[in-house]
Amino acid sequence: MSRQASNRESTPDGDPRPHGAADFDAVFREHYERMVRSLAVASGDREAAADAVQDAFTRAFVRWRRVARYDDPAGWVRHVALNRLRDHFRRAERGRRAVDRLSNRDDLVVDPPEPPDGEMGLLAAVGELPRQQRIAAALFYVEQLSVQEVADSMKLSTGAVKYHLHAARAALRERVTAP
Amino acid sequence: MSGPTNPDDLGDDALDATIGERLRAAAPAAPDTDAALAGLRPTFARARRRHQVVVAGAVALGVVLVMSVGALALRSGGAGNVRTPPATRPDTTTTAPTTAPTTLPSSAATIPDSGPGATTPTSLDDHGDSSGSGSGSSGSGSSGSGSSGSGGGD
Repeated sequence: MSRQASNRESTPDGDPRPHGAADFDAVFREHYERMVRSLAVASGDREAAADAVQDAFTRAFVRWRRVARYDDPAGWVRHVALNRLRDHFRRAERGRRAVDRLSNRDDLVVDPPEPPDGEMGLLAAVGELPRQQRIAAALFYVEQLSVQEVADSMKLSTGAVKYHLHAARAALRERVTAP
Repeated sequence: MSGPTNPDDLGDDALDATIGERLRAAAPAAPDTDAALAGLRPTFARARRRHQVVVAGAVALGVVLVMSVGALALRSGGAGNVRTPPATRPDTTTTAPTTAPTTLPSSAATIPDSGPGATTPTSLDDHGDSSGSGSGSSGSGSSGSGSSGSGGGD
């Protein structure tokens, strides 16, 4: 089930793009906001998500003659943005380890943050999920992609995506059902 | 995807709907799409120029490389040929003329008439005995001193 309409706009007159190729501006307008929002949930960093999506669209713009012929140009953009976001995760993980090393020193006392509640609590719960579960949940729930589209974007099998979504759902159930 | 029909009975579909609604409500808002697209236009143009420069540079480098290899191949294929001698020396002793000359050359007249069974060496290698070939000066080195002396003079 595809919950988003793939863009197959006709090209304007005089445009050298091949027949049937998607229009870049239309793809950008249709997918940019949802991609940024879902990757912001996945990363917990809106700026990093926006940077990743913008970088992916820039790469797509440069290679648009080729990318436009793909079955799902937006899927290609999303995949590139996810790779950029994984780089962000790695950098963040290294930074977190450095903070952990510093926090083990006796002269530094770090107060643990209070757990947020409400919608922010749900976002925080998503942020505590393992990376693959977090990305799968963000793409499925926020960007409203189908399991197949999530699998294509993450280069995983649908079974693996279902497994990650099942685990994420189980972890988020308490937050959702809590009064 | 529809919302949960009964909040007390959250099945997977209902739970998915609830999680989705709440996550979308909590997700940070993205910047305005048109403003983002307009702001990215200069970035797109710069990226395309950079990409074109990289592609053109790679093509030029490839052409230069191919031409250099071609020039080197042409240069080494001209005057720099290496000529190798044949693996076997032509056997001149076995190519005897089919018709024997009826008159001996004048130099052959000096060859003494040997008796039956005597062999006349046709080349230095046919002697077998190295002392015989150069014994013209000594004269008394072997029984065939006369013939060997003339053979050495050939």
